[in-house]
Amino acid sequence: MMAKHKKKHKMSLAQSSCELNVMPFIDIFSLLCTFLLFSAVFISIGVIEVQVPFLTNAAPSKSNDDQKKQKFLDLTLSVSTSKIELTTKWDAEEDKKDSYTFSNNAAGLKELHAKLLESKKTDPKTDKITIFIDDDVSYDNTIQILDHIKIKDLSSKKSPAKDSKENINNDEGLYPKIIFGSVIL
Amino acid sequence: MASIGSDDGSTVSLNIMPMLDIFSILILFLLMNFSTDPMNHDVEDGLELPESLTLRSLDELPSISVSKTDIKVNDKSVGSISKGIVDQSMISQGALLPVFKELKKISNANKRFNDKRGEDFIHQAITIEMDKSHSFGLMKMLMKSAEQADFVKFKLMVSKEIQ
Repeated sequence: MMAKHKKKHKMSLAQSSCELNVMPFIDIFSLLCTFLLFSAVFISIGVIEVQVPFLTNAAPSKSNDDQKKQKFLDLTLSVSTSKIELTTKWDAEEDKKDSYTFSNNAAGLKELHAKLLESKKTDPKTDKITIFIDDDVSYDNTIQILDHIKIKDLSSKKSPAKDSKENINNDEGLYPKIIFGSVIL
Repeated sequence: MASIGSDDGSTVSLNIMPMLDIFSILILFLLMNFSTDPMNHDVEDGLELPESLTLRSLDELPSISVSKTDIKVNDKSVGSISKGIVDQSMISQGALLPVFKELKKISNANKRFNDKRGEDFIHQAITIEMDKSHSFGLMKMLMKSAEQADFVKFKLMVSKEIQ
């Protein structure tokens, strides 16, 4: 009788299932989700670096004959609401300069970018461009123009990532030093 | 599985495994998003940043914020804007006087700090956050004000465009 009783008890123990209480798990997950959702920033923010002309008290760099012989391509961009004018001139040849005019729209910016790529191949050493922008050009338009000046590969499918050597090279590929020439007192 | 007992003794079971799956994936995504950007900044109200393909991340908080209605320097309102035009009384020699005064205080504080550390003065950079609908003329006035206060390098805040 006792043996039968024990056997029944063992069978009932085997049949009953162990259940895992997941409610505390769900509590923590829901709290963590709520906290992270509220603190998440879904707009990725970046910066574009530019400079204005300034006077410095630093002594001029001593240039040797080799440096004096090197020519640098001087680039100037004039921007108005309707057109963009790019002027290129070798610094040693004051009289000789080339001007190219583009319309200030998406197609014109692509042509400007193509021209700047050509100029970069002509003189890879030059990394500076001076820009004169009319007061009535919008800030959004200004940023679009700066993108086409700074970034070499506009069709890159890479999503923006942290600064790494590879990304810096791509960003600084065209003319990374932008000087706003119209900001002069 | 969670279960609820009813009056007649039968139990209704709710399968919460899919919910746990979703929660765990959502938390993983949010944790990764939380940890990859060291700098978090909420864009000012009344301000829409222009989009850019730039790859440079924001590395310092903006000092100058220009929304559709307000100009702020370090979160302190220094002037107002109406339809993209600033009040004429703020303009002096092509620059914005209240902005110049606030930036000059910051610049002097930085110079004193550098002097105490025995470091040479270097031209400083300033971050500008501006609404995309404003004109370059307003940007020029801000830059002139900053240039007078010894800030010659600027970081223009933009929203990164993902292609």
